[in-house]
This record gives sequence, C-alpha cells and structure tokens, in this order.
Amino acid sequence: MRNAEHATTQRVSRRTLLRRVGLGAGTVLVLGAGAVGYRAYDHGVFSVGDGAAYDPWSSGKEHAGTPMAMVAAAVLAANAHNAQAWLFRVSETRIDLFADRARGTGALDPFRREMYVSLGCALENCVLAGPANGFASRVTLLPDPTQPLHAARIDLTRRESPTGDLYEQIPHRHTNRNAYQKGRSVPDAALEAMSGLVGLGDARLVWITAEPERRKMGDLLIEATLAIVADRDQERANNDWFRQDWDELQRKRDGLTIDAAGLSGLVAAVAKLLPAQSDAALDSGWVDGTRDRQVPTAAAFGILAVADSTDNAQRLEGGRLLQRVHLWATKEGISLHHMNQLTERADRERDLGVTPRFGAALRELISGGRLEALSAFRVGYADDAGALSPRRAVESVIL
Amino acid sequence: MTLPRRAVALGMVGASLGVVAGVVQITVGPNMREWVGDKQDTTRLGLATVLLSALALAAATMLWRRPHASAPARLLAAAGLLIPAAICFTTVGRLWFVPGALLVAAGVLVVVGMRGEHREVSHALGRHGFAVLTVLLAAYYVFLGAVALGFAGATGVVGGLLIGAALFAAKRHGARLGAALLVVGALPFAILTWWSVVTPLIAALVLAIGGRAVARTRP
Repeated sequence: MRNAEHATTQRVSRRTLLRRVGLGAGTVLVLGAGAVGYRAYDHGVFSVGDGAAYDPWSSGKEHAGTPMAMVAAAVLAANAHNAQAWLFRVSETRIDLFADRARGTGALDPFRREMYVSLGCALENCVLAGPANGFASRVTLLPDPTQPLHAARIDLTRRESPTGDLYEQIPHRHTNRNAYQKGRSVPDAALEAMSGLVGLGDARLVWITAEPERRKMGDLLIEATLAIVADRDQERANNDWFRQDWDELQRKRDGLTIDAAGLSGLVAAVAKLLPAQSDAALDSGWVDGTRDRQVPTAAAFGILAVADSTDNAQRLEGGRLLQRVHLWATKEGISLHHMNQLTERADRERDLGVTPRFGAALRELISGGRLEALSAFRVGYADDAGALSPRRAVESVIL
Repeated sequence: MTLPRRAVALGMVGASLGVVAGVVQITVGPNMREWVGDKQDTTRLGLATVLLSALALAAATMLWRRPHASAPARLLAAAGLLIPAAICFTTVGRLWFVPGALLVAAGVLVVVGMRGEHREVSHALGRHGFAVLTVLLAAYYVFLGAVALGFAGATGVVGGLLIGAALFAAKRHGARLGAALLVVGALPFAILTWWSVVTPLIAALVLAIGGRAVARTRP
C-alpha cells in the first residue's frame, strides 16, 4: 500500500517536472523568436525597398513643372557603387552639374573614369526629364576648362515638346544583379537597337554574344573580381560602399545593399539577421556571386568603347549613352547589370604602373583599333525584377 | 512608503515619462536622431513606445487599485512593467534611459514583494503558461504583419488575431476549432514570407505551443 502511494507521488512529480521543463523551454524559444523577430524588423527584412532612402523613386511628381523635377530624375541614374557623386546648382533657367569629389571611390576609380560616366548617366536623365516638365535643354559639357568639377551646364527654355519613351522608364530602371534565365538569349534586333542609340561620333557598343568570347569575358570578369579583393586598397574602397546596417543605409542613402546584391530572398534575410559580415566574407560573397550567378547566366556582355577613355567629355557622353541603353532595355523587359571590374583593374594597373594585363585583355575584347573600353555590363532576362537601391533626396544634392 | 506603494509610484512615473518619450519621438524624432537611438522610422517606433508605455501604465494602475491582488495577477503586472521596459531600450534610444530605469525598478520591487508566494505563482504558470506564450506569439505576428508590406503583411495581422482568437474559440467551442484557427492563422503569413526565416519559426512555435495550450483547454 505504502509503495503504491509512493509510486503515485513520484509519477505526479515527474509529470509536473516535465511540464515545467516544457514550459521553460517554450518560454526560452518564444523569447528567442521575439528577439529574432525584432532584429528582422530592425534590419529591414520585411521592408525591402521601403523607407526614406527609397522615397526618391516615387516622389518625382513633387517638383513637377520645375527644374527640380529634372534633378529628381537625375538622382535616379545609374552610377558606380551608388556613390551618387553629383551636386546640382539650380535656377529657373539653368542647371549646373558638378562632380562631388568627396564621394569618390578611391582606388577603384583612380582617374575618376566611373565618376564622370556616372555624371553622364545623371545628365541624360536630367535632359530626358526636360520635356515632361515643359523645358527644352541645351547641354554644354565641361563649360569651364579651368573647373573640371563643373561637368555640365544645362540651359533651360520653356517649351512644350513631347515626352520620350525613355523618360517614362526612369523610375523603373535599376541594376539587376540577380541570376538571369539560362539559355535565353537577347534577340539580335534588340542588341542592334541598343547599338543604334549611340549618339557620339566615335563611340560604339561592342556586343559579346558568341559562346567562346562570352566565356573569355566571363573568365576575365571573375579574375578581375579576384584581383580587386586581393588588392587591399581596392577591397577596402569596395567594401566602404557596402551598407549592411539598415539604419546606416536609411541615414546615408547610398552604396550597395544586401537587398540589391542579387541574393535569393532567403540568403538576403539570413545575411540581415546575422551580425555584420567581415571584409573577407563580403569578398567571398562577391566572388561567388560573380562566378556562380552573374557570369554564367549572362545572355550577352556589352562593352561601351570611346576614342579616348581618359577624356572627361567622352566619359560624360559615354555615360549618357549607357543610361539610354539601360532605359531602353528596361522598356523591353531586358535586365542589365553594370560590371566595372575589368575597367577598375585596368585603371589600377595604370595607376600602379604595372603590366596592363586587364587593360590589354580589354583592348583585345573590343578588337583593338583606336577605341578604348569605357564601361562594361551584362544583359539577359531575369525572373525577379531585382531590388531598388537607396537614393539621397533631391534637397541634399543641391548646392 | 511600503514596497508595493514604491513600485506603484515608480511604475506610474516611469510609464508616464515613457509616453512622453514616445510622443517626442513621433513629433520631433527626425530632428534629434542622436537622442532617439539614431532610428530612421521614428513614427512607427514612437507609436510602439507610446503603446508599450501605456501597457506599463495599465499595469501600474492595476497595482495601485488592487494592491492585494492575487500573486499571479501581480506577476502579470510585473511582466507588464518589465517587458515594455526591456523592449523600449531598443526603440527610443537615450530618451528611454530614465523611464526604462524607473520601470525596471518598479517591476523588480513587485517581484521582490512576492517572496513566499512561490507555490501560488507556480501553480498559475503551470495552468496558463502555454496560453500566455501563445498570446505572445500572436502579438509577434501582428507586429511583423504591421511591419511587412502589402498582402503578406495583412495575412500577418489577421493571422495574429486568429491565433489569439483560437484560445477563446477552444474554450467556448472545443479544441478542434481552436486548432483549426491556429493553423489558418499561422500558415499563410509563414508561407508568403518563408524566406524571412522568422515567420516560419514563429509559425512552428505557434503550432507546437499553441496546439498544446488549445489541447489543454476544456469548454
């Protein structure tokens, strides 16, 4: 009898103990889930493309009918590392575009090639936005030879004229770093149409579509990426423009982001939930993405070539062309990803005075002649539209 | 002043200052980011601070009106003081230092005052612990749903409400309906945002912990 009572007491105690253990474990898990949930909120896992840093993509109409609307279009332009190295001085009859040297990308762009190409992209958006806001534009590149930072002057006159197709694409254009559909090529007619957008005398677009050349270009891009991450100065300059922290991203409103890096939603979410990654991890992620996702799925590579890639005026005109190509591709549902590794390495070789391995390879890719590579990109069709990149407000780029 | 009265006074002052901190963040937060934890989303975080401070104020008021409430009720009030105090250290930056410290002190005093009532507290926790955890998970869903964009966000808010309702449905109409509401509440948001890692994790916990809470409920 006593033994039975003892057994019952022991059974109840065990059940109670198990319940308490279960409740304790549940409490720990629920509190842990709360902490993870809060981190997901705090790091923008559920807010891709949301917040003040992304407002400029949808706030263009605020300044409609004024020169500021043209600047609002300009700040949405393609630009290297999303450094947004532009400043504008605006009056009723004129917009002046200046390079912001404080936003240079250091060892990645020692001769400011990318900076002026990016300014050309912004200039093109600005001009395209003119007719929609009742302005005709007259552009003067580098109006003051003594002031190389004064990239362009746009004289405005009030005139009604039709809005172009490309203007409509400005809020929809963005670099797509995702994998593209494998085996789906871009029609020759589309490539020819993009080549036809060239407006500068000596500039041309070189398309690399055949498999052997595409593989060669892809291998060079991977090697250039590896060379950049192995070069301490270039690696640091590259990672300086990568925004891992959501609050920093929303505050600075520039740079490359986890969301726009071309990662899957799952990997991007995990990357945001984990603590900020080291430079080595960022390098490895970039190399892997280039090698495994971006290069193998490119339908074609494009190289924009000009007569003199060191001439700022040609860089600006090249940038305008590049922007038109990107806007036209957007209209046709073609994704485009600017890939500057080769030109960045070529400039670095020149800067260091070493054997021009990538410089020589670029010359070979565009079949020699007297043209020089200015910029490179890949095109293709992506399943996913890709994410927007943050932008500074118009008010913060006005002098 | 007795221990409970001290706790009530600290809780009331701390929660009221917390409401003020939230209102300040909503109204002038963008102009004083270094004071509000460098947060960009000052409106939503300010609103969250106000709501959580109001919760703490409700807890302090309950202690003031019912100083001799049962031990489980006082424990709940302590949680109502301590949880907002902890969360708001991450929402409103330096503005929370004073209200947060006062609320933590109040919560600790309430817990200290419950010495000797261990058995009663432990019994109540044993009876309702899983239900409390389920309500907490439902609140996570509502919060993340409010943060997420578009249709997915709406499924989060509605899902959270359904998870909360599941406990009451189980009590009134039986465990089967409660379990069905848990599933319907938890799965859509988790499926639509599976890539987020967080929502599938919460959904799994809802099904495991909420399922147990519902199964223990008797109509």
